[in-house]
Amino acid sequence: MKVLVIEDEAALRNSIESFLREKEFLCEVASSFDEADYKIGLYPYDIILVDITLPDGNGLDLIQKIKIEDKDAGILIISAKNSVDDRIKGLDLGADDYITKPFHLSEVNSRINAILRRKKFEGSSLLKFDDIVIDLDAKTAKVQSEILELTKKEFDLLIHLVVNKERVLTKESIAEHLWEDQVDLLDNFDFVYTHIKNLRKKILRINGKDYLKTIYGMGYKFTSV
Amino acid sequence: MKLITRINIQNLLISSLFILIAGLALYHYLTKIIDEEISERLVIQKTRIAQQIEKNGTYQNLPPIYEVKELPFESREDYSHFNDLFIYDSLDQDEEYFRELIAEENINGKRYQIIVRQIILEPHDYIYTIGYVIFWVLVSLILLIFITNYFSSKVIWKTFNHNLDLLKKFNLNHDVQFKESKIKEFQELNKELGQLLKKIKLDYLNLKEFSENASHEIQTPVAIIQNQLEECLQDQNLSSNQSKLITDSLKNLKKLSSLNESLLLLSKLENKQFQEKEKVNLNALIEEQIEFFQFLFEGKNIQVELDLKNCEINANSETLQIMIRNLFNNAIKHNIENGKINMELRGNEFILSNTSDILLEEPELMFDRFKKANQSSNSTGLGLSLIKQICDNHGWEITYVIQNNLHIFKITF
Repeated sequence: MKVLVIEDEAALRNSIESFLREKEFLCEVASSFDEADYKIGLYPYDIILVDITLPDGNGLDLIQKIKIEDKDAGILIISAKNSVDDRIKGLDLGADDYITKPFHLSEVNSRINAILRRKKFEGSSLLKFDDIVIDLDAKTAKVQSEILELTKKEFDLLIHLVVNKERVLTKESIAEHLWEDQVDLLDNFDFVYTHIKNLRKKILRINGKDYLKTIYGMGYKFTSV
Repeated sequence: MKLITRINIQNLLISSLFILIAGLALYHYLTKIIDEEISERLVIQKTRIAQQIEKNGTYQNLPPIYEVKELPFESREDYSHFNDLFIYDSLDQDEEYFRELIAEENINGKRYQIIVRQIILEPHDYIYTIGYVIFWVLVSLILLIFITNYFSSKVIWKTFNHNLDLLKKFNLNHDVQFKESKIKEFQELNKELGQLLKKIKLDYLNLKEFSENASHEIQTPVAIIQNQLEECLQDQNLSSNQSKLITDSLKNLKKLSSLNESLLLLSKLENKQFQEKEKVNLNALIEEQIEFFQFLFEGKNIQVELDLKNCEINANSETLQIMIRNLFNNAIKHNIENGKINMELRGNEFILSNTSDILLEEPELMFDRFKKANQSSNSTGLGLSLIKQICDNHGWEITYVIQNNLHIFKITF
C-alpha cells in the first residue's frame, strides 16, 4: 500500500511517516503544496493524507487535483479542530474521511484501514489475526470458526485493536475512538475497561487465549500470545 | 428625549420669553400712547367748550361727558389737572372708568369749572387683552411645533431612523447599506459610520483569522507532543515511573486541547457564527443523545426519567447538539452513584434536574467562564458558559437553581 503524507510540520510528518512504515505501508512525504502537487502528478497512491493548512497553498485545492489525477486514491483530511467549514468542503470535494488535530496515530491507522476496506484495496473484507477472523461486510467476528457475540461497540473495539496490534493504546485514545470527542470522558475511563474486560472474556471463553495485555497505568496492547 | 423635541422645547421657551417681553412692551407703549392721545383729546374738548362759552356766553351740561359750572370769581390763574376714576353711568347702569380733565378758567370775567371726561380702558383690560392674544399665539405655536415634529420625523428623520434600525440589527455576517440622506450632518454620519463598520469588520476578520491560526498553531504542537509521547509509550523498557509521567502528561495535554477547542467555540458563538437555523425536533434529538450517553448513565447507575412531549423549535442544530451534550456531561459528571436525572420537555420549556452532592451558594455564577465547583476537578470550567452562550445566541432564557438537593436547569425557548 502506497501512502502520501502531505504535512508541513516536520515533527508531525516524521512521526506519521515512521509509524506508517512500521505498519508496512510504503510511505512518501511532501512538506509543501508544490512538492505534493509534483508527487501526485508523478505516482499513483492508495491513500493520501492532506493537511488543509499548508504554507504555500490550500489543501482543499490539492484534493481537487487529486480527484482529477488519481481518482482512486483514498483521501484523509487532517484539519484543525475548529475548521468545520474546511472539513465539510473537503468531504464535498470527495475526501473520504477527516481527522482533527491532535490525533492519535492509532486513530490514523484505523481510519486509513477503514478507507482501504471501503475501497476494497485489500481485495477482501476479511481481517485476520491469529485465531480471529473478522468479516467486515457481514459485521461478524469468529474465533476458531465460532462466532463471537459482540455488541456494536465491542466489534468496533476489536477492529481497532486488531488494526493497531502490537501497540500500546492509551485508554484515552480508545475512548476517543469509540465515543468520538463529544463525550466528556476525562473522569470516565472505566468504560474502556468495562468494554476491554467483556471482549477479553468473550474471546477467552472460546479459545482460552488472552490477547489483551494490560499495561499497568498506561493502557492496553493487543498481541499474539 | 428626541432631539427634535429637545430643540422645539428650547425654541418654545425662548419664544415664550420673547413674546412675554413683547407683551410687556406692547402694554407699556400702548397705554402711554393712548394716555397721551386721550389727554390731548380732553384738552381740545375743554378748549372747544371754553371757546363756546367765550363766544356765546352760554354752556350746556352733558354728564358724564362734560360738565360746566360757574364758580365765584377769583383772579387766579387758569389751572387744570387730570384724574382717573369710576363714575356711575346711568345709561349703562354700571360703573365706568373715566379720565377727566378738571379745568378752571376765567372767561369774560367769570370763572368756570369745566370737566370733560372720556371712557378709558382699565389697566387690567389691557393686560387681559394682551395676555389673551399671547396665550393663543403660544397655543398655536405649540400646535405648529407638534405638527412640524410629526412631519419632519416622517420626512427628515425617516432615513436616519431607517439607518438606526440597520445599526441595531448589525451583524458581522451581513453588510450594512445605509440609505442616503439629503441632510449634510446625516451624510457625514453615514460616511463615518460606514468607515467605522468597515474597520470593525476588518478587525473582526483579522481576529477571526488570528484565532483560527492560533488554534491551528496550538493544535499542531499538541498533536506532535501527543504522538511522540505515545511513541515513547511503545518502548518496552520504560520504568513504571517513566510511564506514569508520560500518561499524566498525555492526560493534561488532552485537557489543554479541549480547553483550546472550547475557547474557540465560545468566541465563534460570541461572534454570532452558527446563524443558520432550521426546524429541529427537540425530543427526537434528546432521545438520540440519551442513547449516545446510555453507557455513561449505566456506568454511574443513574436512573433517567423522561417526560418528553413532542417539541419542534427553530434552532441551529450543530450548537443545539453541543448544548444538549454539555448538559448531559454536566449532569453525569456532578451526579452521585445511583443518582437520578429527570428531563421534562413540554410547551416551550426544557427542564433537566439531577441529583448531586455539590453545594453551591449561587449556582448561576457557574455560567461564568472557568468557574468550577471543585477547582481540582478535571473539567475545563467552560461547559456551562458554552450552554449559556448557545442559549443567548438563540434568545433563550436559562436558569440554574438548586432545590431539595436537585440541581435544576430550566431553558425557556
